[in-house]
Amino acid sequence: MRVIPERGALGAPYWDALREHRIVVQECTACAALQHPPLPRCSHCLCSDLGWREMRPEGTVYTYAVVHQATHVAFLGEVPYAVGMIEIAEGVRLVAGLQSELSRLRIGMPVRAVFRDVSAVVTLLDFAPLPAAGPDLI
Amino acid sequence: MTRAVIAGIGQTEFGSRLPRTSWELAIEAAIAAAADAGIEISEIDGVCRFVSPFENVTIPMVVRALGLPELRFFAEAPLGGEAMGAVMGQAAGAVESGRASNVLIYRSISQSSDGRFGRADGGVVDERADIVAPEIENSSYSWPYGVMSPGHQFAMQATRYAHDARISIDQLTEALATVAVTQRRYANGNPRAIMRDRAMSRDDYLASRMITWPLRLFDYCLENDGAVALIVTREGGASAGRPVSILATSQSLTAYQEPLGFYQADIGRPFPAGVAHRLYADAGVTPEQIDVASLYDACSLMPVRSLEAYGLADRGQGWRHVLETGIGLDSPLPVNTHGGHLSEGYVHGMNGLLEAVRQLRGESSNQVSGAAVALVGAPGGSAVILGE
Repeated sequence: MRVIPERGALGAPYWDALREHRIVVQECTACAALQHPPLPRCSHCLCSDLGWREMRPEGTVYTYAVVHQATHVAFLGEVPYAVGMIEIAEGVRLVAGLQSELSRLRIGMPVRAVFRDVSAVVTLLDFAPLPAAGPDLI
Repeated sequence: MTRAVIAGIGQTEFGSRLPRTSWELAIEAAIAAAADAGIEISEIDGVCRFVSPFENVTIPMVVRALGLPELRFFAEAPLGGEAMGAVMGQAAGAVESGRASNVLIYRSISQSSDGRFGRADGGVVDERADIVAPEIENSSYSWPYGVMSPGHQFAMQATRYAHDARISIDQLTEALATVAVTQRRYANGNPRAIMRDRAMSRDDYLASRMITWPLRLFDYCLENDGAVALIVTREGGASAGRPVSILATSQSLTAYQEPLGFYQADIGRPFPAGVAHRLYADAGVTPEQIDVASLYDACSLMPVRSLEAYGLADRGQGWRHVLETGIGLDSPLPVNTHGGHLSEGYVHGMNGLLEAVRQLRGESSNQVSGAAVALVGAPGGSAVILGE
């Protein structure tokens, strides 16, 4: 059993990009505001002309947690697993899995995207510490 | 303006796997609340409740089961624990404006039969089939990563809280231990509490298993069955009991506060500072005048954050307030004197409201001497200030 994302009406371009190992975020063509998760209109200027901007596949850890007791049977075999919110641009955060030694995780640490192909049509987005920037080297 | 009061409160026992449906529990609590208020059941002409799927007992079910002649006011509020201030505001507004005379508010919960809030797999029937996380409410962006439950949100908030407060996780853990142990001590003195007979030491707390780091089993609330109800009426409207004044209610909603608050601009601030200012101004009291508080505690971190958000501790200093000033009966501001969701029982913030009423009547099992003003606060800015 897996939990897979719906390729919904708003988010389809996001999931299609992940499939190509790219990260895109909804962008307003009028005021250039970025928003994630996607919305029907730009929430800043209410313009309906929205596009998608490709982001660099890296960010920093905004916060994280380590799940030791699964709350869903689909994750019984995964514990302990780390999850976090990754800030990939000013004000843009993604919920993601974290592939890391648990003791290395720190808020603010730089991470890079790891694209996890879970099926022929679904790719999930994890992040992992940048090798050269771990706190053990500071 | 006529002021709304809480004229009566009622509750069932709280416990695991109670042999009654949530419908029966709701009715029992409602009858007790009406009796406490000194009104006939037939005098109830308004009802407010939390929306489904939180509250499974619908308003028509209550009208039928209690044989009410007619409701002329009914309303419901969304967003789980954030509905507390909303239903209180609806009921108070209805009686103050004359739309209703006696409004019943109830919250009935049966997690043993209707599903546990802490679990995400209540509906799973076939363990071989994949689950599709819907785009609506952003589930598709978090569930596939195993981020599915409020407890995951609380843990991420806790890690960030420690970071923003510039303290270690060990320091945060000490503060959370103090919350859990103090509330358990309150529960040990409260015959209604599920944990009335179970003592907990700091060592017991630290030894409890990690659920989602940095939070342990005893950081999380109980999951149980039980119901509470109360009757809101006009000042001077009910004959018996000792009415408690509703000085102010508040509700608040900002972008990304729901669902799960992951994308809020500042997850360290549960709700805008203006909410607490508005609440105190409406009530005509200052934070210093609060004698006792019931602060929503689905996890031990919530009261810590609420102390800050409701202006009872400086921002980033809630942990220090808990450790150095304390929240016990010997502190200037006792918090969750019923034991809270952590140790009395989980009734979605509404049992904290009942405790505030008991405190102001002088009827609490852990009575705060001279309590005249009480705050009942949830993390979403959903709050009530009550006065004698």
